[in-house]
Amino acid sequence: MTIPETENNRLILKEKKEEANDVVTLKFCPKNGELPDFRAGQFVMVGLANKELSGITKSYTISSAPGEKLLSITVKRKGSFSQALYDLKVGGEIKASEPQGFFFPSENSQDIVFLAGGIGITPFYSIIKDTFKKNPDKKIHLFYSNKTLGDIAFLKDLDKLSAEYKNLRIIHLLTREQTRDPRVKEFKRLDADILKRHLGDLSRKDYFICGSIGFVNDLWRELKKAGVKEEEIFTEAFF
Amino acid sequence: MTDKNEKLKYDVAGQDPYKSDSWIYSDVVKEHFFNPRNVLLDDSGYKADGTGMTGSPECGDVMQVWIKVNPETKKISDCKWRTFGCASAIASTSVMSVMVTENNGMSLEKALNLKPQQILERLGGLPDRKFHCSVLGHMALREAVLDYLKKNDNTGNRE
Repeated sequence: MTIPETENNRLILKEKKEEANDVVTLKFCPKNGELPDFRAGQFVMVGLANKELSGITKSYTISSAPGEKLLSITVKRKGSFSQALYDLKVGGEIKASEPQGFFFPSENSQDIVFLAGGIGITPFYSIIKDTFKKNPDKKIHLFYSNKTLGDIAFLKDLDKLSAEYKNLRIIHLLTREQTRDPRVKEFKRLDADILKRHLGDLSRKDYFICGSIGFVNDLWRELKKAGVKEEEIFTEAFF
Repeated sequence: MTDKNEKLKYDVAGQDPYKSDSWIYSDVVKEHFFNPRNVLLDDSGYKADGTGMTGSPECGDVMQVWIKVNPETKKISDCKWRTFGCASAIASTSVMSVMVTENNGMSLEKALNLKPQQILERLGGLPDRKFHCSVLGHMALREAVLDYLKKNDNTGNRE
């Protein structure tokens, strides 16, 4: 997929924020014109000016919410393209496609369950901010699995959001580290038993799974085995 | 395709196509690669109600999907496709074209909501490295359904 050569799809890096081990948020403003409209949960295809990486595009979820002044993507340093993005200096330029994708809850979803593996948190972070700003009555459970405490992106921001919105419940899981941090409730891979313990009845909810291919495929099968209907499961795998 | 054919079969004892590091293809994948269903090589005479195209930047695959929609039931009555893609893209899309047309056709809502994991289940798994090929077909299908809805005032009724 190529990004059209226009001046309007150029973005300039304004701010950079470290979020976790090897994870950074890049905040962009438009070079010309305005930021594109988007729905929380959508992604952009990104192109770089580097000689070695020109012609290559990769998808990155927008981690800011609609209405924020800058458009953010949150990048995990993995592979040469993400490494080059991770290293981008303030003032640097990228090309970005129009926002695209359909990974977001419908207006009718009331009871929403997000299952995030590592950097798979990015669409949920944007959707959570956007949803509660518009409709604080919606219920969201976020199960957020990471290897270690230092790998949890947006930790403080998520704390703030759950303190602000009583209908947001966050369950942190760590798979490779034990900690006494009271925010971490589970120390194993996410499975149906953990979901049942925190949700009770698994029916009549919309499940959104985002993370690595293995994480997404495993949880898809786990939910189906537990009796969740296919039409109540939505997936986005990062590869 | 019968249920028996769709069951996961192992080519090599102990090799599980669902395992992320496996390069083993299931018999269903091989069957649909060697005998792809619903391929449309020449679309010049095909009157589609909706068309969609997508491509994977990772390996340069391009996928086109054409659908016909039953005006009475608003279900997909025919699904054709063509790709310059790999074995996994061919097998995935072949299986998908069967899934959306079997049992009197899939509703447009279900087709829009089709997940790669549903296709993977019917295929008996794919190596993780080939996962991105399995998303091409359903992304192009979604474009085709959206194209149909756009041409039909988003209601399924012709303008």
